[in-house]
Amino acid sequence: MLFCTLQLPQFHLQAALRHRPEAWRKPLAVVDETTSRLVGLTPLAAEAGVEIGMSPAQGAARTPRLEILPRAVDTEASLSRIVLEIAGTLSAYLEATAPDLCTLDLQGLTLGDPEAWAKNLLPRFEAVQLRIRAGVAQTPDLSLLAVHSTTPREPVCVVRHSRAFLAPLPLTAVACPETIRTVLHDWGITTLGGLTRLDKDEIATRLGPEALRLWEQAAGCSRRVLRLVRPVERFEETFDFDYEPDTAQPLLFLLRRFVDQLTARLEGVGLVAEALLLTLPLCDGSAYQRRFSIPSPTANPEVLFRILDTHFESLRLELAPVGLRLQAFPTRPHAQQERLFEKALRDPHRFAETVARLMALAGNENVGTPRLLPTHQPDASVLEPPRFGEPPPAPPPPQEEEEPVGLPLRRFRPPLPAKVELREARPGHLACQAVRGTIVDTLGPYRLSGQWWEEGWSTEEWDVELEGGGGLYRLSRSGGQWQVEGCYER
Amino acid sequence: MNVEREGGGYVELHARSAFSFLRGASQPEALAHRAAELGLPAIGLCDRDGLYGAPRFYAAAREAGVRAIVGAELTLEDGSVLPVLVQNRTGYQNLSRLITKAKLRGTKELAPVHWDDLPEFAQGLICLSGDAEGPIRRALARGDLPAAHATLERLTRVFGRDGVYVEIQRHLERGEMILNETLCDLAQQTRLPLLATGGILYAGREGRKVLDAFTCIRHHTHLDAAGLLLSRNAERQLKPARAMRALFADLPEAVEESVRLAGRLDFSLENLGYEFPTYPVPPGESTDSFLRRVTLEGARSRYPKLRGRVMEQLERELALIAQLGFSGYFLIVWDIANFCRENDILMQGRGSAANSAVCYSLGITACDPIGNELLFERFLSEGRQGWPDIDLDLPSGDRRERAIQELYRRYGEHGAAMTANVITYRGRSAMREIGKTLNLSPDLIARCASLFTGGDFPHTLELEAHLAQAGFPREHGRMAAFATLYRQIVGLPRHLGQHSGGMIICQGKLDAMVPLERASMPGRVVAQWDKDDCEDLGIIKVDLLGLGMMSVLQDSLTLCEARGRGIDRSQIPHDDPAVFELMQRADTIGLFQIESRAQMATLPRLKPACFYDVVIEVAIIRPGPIQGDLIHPYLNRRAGREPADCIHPLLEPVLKRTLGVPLFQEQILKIAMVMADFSGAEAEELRRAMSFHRSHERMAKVLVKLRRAMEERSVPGEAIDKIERAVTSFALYGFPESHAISFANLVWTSAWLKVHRSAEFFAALLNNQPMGFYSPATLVRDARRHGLRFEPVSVVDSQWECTVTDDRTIRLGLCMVRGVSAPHVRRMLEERSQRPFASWHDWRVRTGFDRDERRTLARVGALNPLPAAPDAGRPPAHRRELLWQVEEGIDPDDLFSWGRTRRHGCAAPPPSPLEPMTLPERITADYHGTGLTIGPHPMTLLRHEFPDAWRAADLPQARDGERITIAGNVICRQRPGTAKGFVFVSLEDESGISNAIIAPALFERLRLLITGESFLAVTGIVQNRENVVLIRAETILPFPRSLQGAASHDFH
Repeated sequence: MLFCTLQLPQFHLQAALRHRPEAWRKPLAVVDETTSRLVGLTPLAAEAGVEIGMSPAQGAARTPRLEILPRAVDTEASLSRIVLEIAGTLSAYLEATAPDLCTLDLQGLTLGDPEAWAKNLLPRFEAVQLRIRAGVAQTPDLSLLAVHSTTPREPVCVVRHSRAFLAPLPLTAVACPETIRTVLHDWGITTLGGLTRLDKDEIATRLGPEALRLWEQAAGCSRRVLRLVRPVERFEETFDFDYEPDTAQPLLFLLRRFVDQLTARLEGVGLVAEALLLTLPLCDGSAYQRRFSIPSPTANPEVLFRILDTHFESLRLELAPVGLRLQAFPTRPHAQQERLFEKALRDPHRFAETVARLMALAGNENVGTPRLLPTHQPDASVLEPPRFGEPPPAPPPPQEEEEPVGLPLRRFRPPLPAKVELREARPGHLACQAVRGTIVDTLGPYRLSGQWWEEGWSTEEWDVELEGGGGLYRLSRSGGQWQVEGCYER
Repeated sequence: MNVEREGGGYVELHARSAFSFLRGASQPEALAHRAAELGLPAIGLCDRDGLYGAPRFYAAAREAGVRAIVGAELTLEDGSVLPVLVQNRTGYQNLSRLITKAKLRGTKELAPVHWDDLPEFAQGLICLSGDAEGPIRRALARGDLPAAHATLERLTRVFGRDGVYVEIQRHLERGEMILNETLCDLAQQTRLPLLATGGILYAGREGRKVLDAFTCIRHHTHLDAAGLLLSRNAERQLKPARAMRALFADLPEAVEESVRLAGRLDFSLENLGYEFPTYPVPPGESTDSFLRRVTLEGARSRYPKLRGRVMEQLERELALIAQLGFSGYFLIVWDIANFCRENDILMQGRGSAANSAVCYSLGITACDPIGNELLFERFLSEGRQGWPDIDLDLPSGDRRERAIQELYRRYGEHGAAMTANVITYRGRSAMREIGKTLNLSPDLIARCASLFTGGDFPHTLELEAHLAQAGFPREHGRMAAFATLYRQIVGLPRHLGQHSGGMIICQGKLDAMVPLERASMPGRVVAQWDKDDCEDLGIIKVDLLGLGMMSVLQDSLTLCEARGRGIDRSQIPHDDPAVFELMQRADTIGLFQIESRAQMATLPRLKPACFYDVVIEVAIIRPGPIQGDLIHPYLNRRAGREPADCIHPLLEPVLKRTLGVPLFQEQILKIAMVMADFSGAEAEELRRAMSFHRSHERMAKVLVKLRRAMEERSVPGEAIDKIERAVTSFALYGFPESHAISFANLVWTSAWLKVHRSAEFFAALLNNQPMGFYSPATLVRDARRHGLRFEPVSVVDSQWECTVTDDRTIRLGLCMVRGVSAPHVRRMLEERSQRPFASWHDWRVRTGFDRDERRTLARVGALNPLPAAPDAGRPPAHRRELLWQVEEGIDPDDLFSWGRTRRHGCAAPPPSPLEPMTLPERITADYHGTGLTIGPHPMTLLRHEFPDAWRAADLPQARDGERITIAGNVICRQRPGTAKGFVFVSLEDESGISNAIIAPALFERLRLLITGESFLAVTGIVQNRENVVLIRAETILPFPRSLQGAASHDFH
């Protein structure tokens, strides 16, 4: 019975430098911002005396040239997934032991020489720019220890005699509660061999069951069952063109096939798609990418294809695509009952399609649900992307804002540039594209400013009445420029 | 600044300063100065729930020619905030007592005034309806007009119809118009006057940023998330009358009302009505006659021949004391001194009180001012405005607390209080708070704050460069805001602490003079003003200062007494050659005052040979003489390298004994009296200017007067220049000669004890840690260099304190072990006194230590001496053997386990399979558990890392100018303000201490390395002059491998 543990050495560093390979040649450290401790170091940083576990300030004290990057948490998750995916092609029995570790049960495989087998694994990971190390042994825990004893020069370790292998390993090679580690440190126990030289029962009596497990692990006699996981299935189809298509037809043809295949796979495992990601690699190396949220998650190929088809109607690319990739994001189908006073969209897909058309026409950034920002800046808002089938976000906690009083204001969006003549430091005459006239009464100024810690904004507002019942308007002046913000409805 | 100046027309009556703690953004002084710039005739300060900033505001306003009106915002039980203004002294006393009542009733965080409290204290107070937090506007904000009406009626019932004003404010915000119209209607309906106020939160517009930052700190949020909590605009600054009239053009009467109301507020802080407690004298005696009687009684024991000069001086002093009405004060201080004597609390008066023969006779001070020819006028003169200053040094800790509690007992909770200590934002705290406010990552904040490791070392780089050094990119979008906020916030008050020893007491009710509140320390009440504020307003302060060295001296003397070699402190000879020898070779670790690096560098040059040299040594290493560049002239003259220059022949009697270099305040005063013919009153004015560290202007005025007087007396220009330079040097840091003599007494006693009673002295030093310049590790090492032997901490032999075993041996006490509780140790000592522990198991079941404490004791070897069972037949236990046994599970509630334990009391437990600790392991465990080791110095084990490094003991052989390396445990980092950015680092090795000086540029480059590493190797050029060796650092390296070492004491 054999197990293999695969490890991504310098996990945090590998993730942080995944797209900056040249930075491996600099003194650089990765900091975990939650603990404010260094968790990854390049060789040059280590040579300068920087150590894992130091605070960034201590690290910078060792070498002022030290560059400090935060952990790339998303990339770390992605690396873990890739390792599991590749490992999943080797064995059906996988354990995601830790973010940087995965353990395989090699039962049923014909390995031949385990060391040669393990060495053959490395190029597969190198192909996706990952450095990997492997440990092979008779138990999962032992294979974990084996991988910890690998080095950059010897990235594979196969344990043939467990006792001899374990004895010199440092105690830090195994997971251990801090309290037990402290006691063992006080006892001068620094290696697994040192621990196993102590009487097993005495250890259990003094330090409890966790220490007993530790002892067994150190003796190589621990037996544990892998917590099996299945690699996340990736519902994706890709195609690389031999030529650069000059119309949308071939793309749509392929997309239809992709959609059919993906929906068939989804249905096969009882899932539906909640989003699609369309990627078109372009001839200059860049890529066009667009994500489609599915209003009501489905595996219906017609619905999914219609979304893509609608998008292609308005899609104009500057460069020719050289490939096509479509990924479906699966979810469990869910049926929900509408609440009593909640009116559902009659056809969410149709609504989504309409929104998609609007986005195509007006631009993504100009379609959504406006939400006022909690600031004193007038009319400051953001557009939130359309949400389908999700409950509306909880309203922000109430803040001490006085109730609006007075007449309702109809805002001009955008505000109208205006020319204002001042009389005795108050607006006296207004002229703009939509309205012009002498001002007979004013209220103000009202001064507002904020965000001073960045770029800052500052404005002065006036409410004015034009002569002859010409209306009530709100004017603003920022940076010397006058604008008509809107008119009051009487 | 182009500032409009105009006459009255408006008085700002509602302003908050930064003493509203996170609710105001300007110092009171800034508000006063700005009000003066804007031509406002008066300004009312209404800080939240206190009068914290009132004295400073009053002083600044008086200086700026603005009338300071006293007021406060009171938080009521319903959460609303009511501003009140003081109309007269009764009103002031009521306000102070009202705040005190609320503060002493509530908690430190929440102490509201109750509505029901108001009627009792309303007399003499004017109430405003308040701003958005006020009770009226809160009711209006709820849309509850009847409630607003009812509240206004209620206030009218409490404060009277002429004691309530409806306050309106305009901050150029929407919604104000309707609100103010409603307030106007309310005022009209209730026939109350309208009052325009500014609701001032900062002096100038730039204060808005600080206020927003403070708002974030108060709400535990950051600027990105604070949203509507932040200010709408920057309109809460002080405005001139013209601007207020324009703002309230439609309500001119509201502006005019401010002037009318200000006219009604007839109170100034100088009219506090403070009275010092009267001393209960025997029937038939007045305080003057009683003081005379007790003084003369005391003088008879102090002066064997009570006549002639002595009698003359006493009569002169007593007459002046009586004339100034201070007799009662002297008697009160005498009474405190008596309490200390009767309760075995070592006490010594310090400061200028030592210039008084009366104080000496009363036993308040320990040095004879007549024999030492001290200037009484430095202490007391006819022109003196405030109370004289008598500070008492007491042993720190319990003994001082007993004296403090005695004062509380005598004068009551409302009659005595500690003075406050205003804690301000400083480098590290400001960096952290601003970083959080700006929503910077915790890591970046930590890096910025780490620039201030080891105390707020003065910085020589510009702030932006510093921040860049900490990894704050210059192009960061928030760098500018960070720097702006930092500059504005540093120095602003953060919270109120208590002064280390200043107590104020009052005849009658102190709470009517200044609001009192609870201190964090149980049993303590603290006033809202600091000692300078109290002094400025004539409230007398008695400083009961805790001196660690007083504790050490008292403990040493007690130990000597207990060991049968007691000594009367007053009998210690002041001419002991062994003591001088010790000082001359700068062997002064552990001594009072002269143990610092700078003192140790001066001693071999000054070579003290008489007691007065010690007085000079104490006085000369001070910022005043250092800044005035007086040290080198003095040392050169002493060494005969240059002649003594007394500036002018007339000054020879004054300056002769300090070789022409003015080192003491008394000399400066005498110079003024001799050269400029200053009277005692004028000399007093000069003294106050010198010690009044808030006003450079005041100093400049006195200097002009001095110069003019000397010119009129035809003093040569060169001499005038020299005198002026000397006076300026003393402006901030002058040292009275009497104070130096008092301290020199302590120096001498500590040195004598180190030479002649070293075991008792070092034991007492260790028992009173933390104190002084060095850690216990360094003290122990120094003691060992003096031939003392230390026995380790032991549960079998140690007491809680370190004890003296014999003349050359000290047993470390259990107080040295970190993390072991005193009650558990007491219980163990009690058990041990009943019957010695028979074995580890016996010790275990008879003591109450928890597992962590047992581990700690085993780790430092304190359990090793526990006897093995008689049949053990093996060598004594080692630390790991006990660490093995400590983990053995024995449940005291388990009868069987108990039985087994009892049996084990006779039978030896099986030996542990663990190896004994190695030497480095023992050293690490020692430092970890006790902060020191009595084993070898860690450098012994690390020396191979820098084999060429010189040992500290060998440094005297190094040639001046030679390039060498020193290495060791960093025990002290110091960047004195007087050193122009240079940093001194002391490295300890197995042979002693070596010192390096680091230039500012090198320090800034390696700041984090220098302040962060515990072992350093420094290579540089030797400076070896007059037996003082210093290395001018060129390169500094960390140790590749390090051990635990002693902690460093860092100063600035």
